[in-house]
Amino acid sequence: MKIGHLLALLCCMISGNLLGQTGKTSYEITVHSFFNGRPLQRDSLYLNEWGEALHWNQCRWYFSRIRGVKTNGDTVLLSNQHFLLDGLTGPATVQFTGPSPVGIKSLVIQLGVDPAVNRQGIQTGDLDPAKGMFWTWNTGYVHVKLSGTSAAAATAGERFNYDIGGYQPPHVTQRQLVFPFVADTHQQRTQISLQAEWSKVFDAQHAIRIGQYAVCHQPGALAVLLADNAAQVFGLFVPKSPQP
Amino acid sequence: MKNKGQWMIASLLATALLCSAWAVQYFVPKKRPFKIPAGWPQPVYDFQKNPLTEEGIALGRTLFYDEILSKDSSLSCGSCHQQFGAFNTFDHPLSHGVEGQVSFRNAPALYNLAWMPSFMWDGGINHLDLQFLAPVTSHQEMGADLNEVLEKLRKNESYRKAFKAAFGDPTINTQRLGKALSQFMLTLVSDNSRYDKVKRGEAQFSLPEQLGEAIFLQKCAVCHQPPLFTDFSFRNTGMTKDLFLQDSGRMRITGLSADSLSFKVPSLRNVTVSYPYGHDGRFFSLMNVFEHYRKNLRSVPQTDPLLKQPLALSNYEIGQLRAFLNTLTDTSFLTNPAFAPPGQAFRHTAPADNHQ
Ligand code: HEC
Ligand code: HEC
Repeated sequence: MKIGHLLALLCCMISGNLLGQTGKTSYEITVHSFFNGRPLQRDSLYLNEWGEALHWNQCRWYFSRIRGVKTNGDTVLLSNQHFLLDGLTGPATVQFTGPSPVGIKSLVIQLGVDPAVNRQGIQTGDLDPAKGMFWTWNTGYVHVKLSGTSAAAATAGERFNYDIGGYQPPHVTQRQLVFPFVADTHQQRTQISLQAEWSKVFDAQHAIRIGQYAVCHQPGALAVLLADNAAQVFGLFVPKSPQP
Repeated sequence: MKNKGQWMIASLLATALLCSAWAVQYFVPKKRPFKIPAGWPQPVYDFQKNPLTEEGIALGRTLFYDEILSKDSSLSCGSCHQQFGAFNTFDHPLSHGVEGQVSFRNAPALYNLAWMPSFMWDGGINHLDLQFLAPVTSHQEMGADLNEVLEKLRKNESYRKAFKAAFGDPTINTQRLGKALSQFMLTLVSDNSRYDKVKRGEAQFSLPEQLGEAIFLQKCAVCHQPPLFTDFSFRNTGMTKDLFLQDSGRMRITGLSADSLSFKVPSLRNVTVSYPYGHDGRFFSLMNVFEHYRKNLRSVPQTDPLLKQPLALSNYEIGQLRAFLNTLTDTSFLTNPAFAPPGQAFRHTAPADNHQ
């Protein structure tokens, strides 16, 4: 095993040297989570568009297939990893090394897990089913998991729980997010700041009232509506000037 | 002086290299080839991602029979999947879970899993490695949270050793747990029934068996396709919905009303010992199943075209079919000590009652 690793490392070093620059830039993508402009956190009370008061308990999602699109239309794969992010523990960050950002004009991120991965048995790391972002009985990943409590929820414990997943047509729920490539690049470090405005889950494209839909725990039409809304949650981070 | 130092370092390095090469050699798990019985299709399980090894199989077998996988340490996989019933829940229509809960389906027999493209009666699980997560994480079955199980295993010295022997280092994670259990389950190949011996030219059918085979090929084999005795499709066989269980079968997975009350075609190998029958265990005997096919089935729009009408089966034909189905019993599989709980000889008698 050890020798195998050593050899692999050597090979990587050699081929890396021969091929030049690949994998040299380190990227850091930070996502700041909000609800109606206020930082998202566990013990705060928020109101959605429909006047439903809610507390958050879980807010986790996958980012994958991070790509750059160049001015000439070429797509560069920046990272083929899957990252599990948490919106309730302060700014969430993704770090990886990838090819140079020179010439990239937009950034594309898949919200969710790659369809192929859903058929390949058990994964490790962020994709380990032990992370709780997985359905066994109808095999597939939960791309986005949002849960909390609200008096509007007609369920035990007034819980609402949106497990957004499903990769088989017609109920596909992974989404491609596109952002202008606005990065802070110093030498070989590229930093990108995004924001997530979670109130949009309830109203961005489809009206989701907790009173009407308190749970989504399987692939299907509701998961698709929620996925459409979740895709609108993300945008470039615009630091707000403090309110007067 | 300087030269001597360099030599020292070089020879030290060389020794270290040799030692680690020896260690690598020593710890490499012993490969076990997977034999495909003559005339059978290629398995669908990807053995390249999880090559069978003696150590991996042994670990899987230990895990399969260890109650450590359940929350209140009362159940192992082997409690519901028992060898004398071809690894089904012998004599129980619905499997009993942790804290006396009853799960809503009949535990299927387990064998020839390397050929099975999807698991559960509704096909909802798409990879064998994942199957153990269903009972370990479902409230109706083992109930234990996966992380708790992993912690219990990690604290256990002999499991750390066994994982190291099987996978090269003592890391215990979900993936390795699944792979080890799969390795054991993949060895559960049933290919040595009287039927197989006849097909290999080592035995001959009696007349009733031969007539039974002819009826089978005509009326049953489209769905229960030899040599695996299933085509792994999902079909509505005209079984009415159990109002208490409310199980819509394949439709639970696809959401399509066309799949209402469709269930995976079960293999019929070892069928004489794997009673009760049907996804909810509603048939207590083969006779109940025959009565269903010839009398009781209720055709609805989703019912398979082959079963729009009840099957014409005389008592005489049923006798012959039964003789044929009997030839599918694989005694060497049912009594193979390699499949029994580790360190335990095969028990020939089923426990009278397995309730507690
Ligand atoms: C409480 C009883 C129970 C326990 C414990 C149990 N199972 Fe099962 N098993 C079942 C039932 C019931 C089904 C069918 C469920 C369904 O179709 O919805 C099943 C299905 C399966 C299948 C799919 C077979 C097929 O034909 O699709 C496999 C494989 C399996 N179990 C392996 C295991 C393993 C490995 C363990 C231990 C980690 C285990 N089981 C523990 C009851 C149990
Ligand atoms: C249209 C496909 C089809 C045909 C034809 C068919 N079966 Fe089945 N069979 C199934 C399906 C599907 C099941 C599972 C039904 C369920 O539980 O919902 C089943 C279940 C069974 C079972 C119960 C096995 C178990 O382990 O639970 C037996 C025995 C059986 N069939 C025998 C036969 C025989 C004998 C014939 C021919 C006379 C036959 N079948 C014809 C599809 C078929």
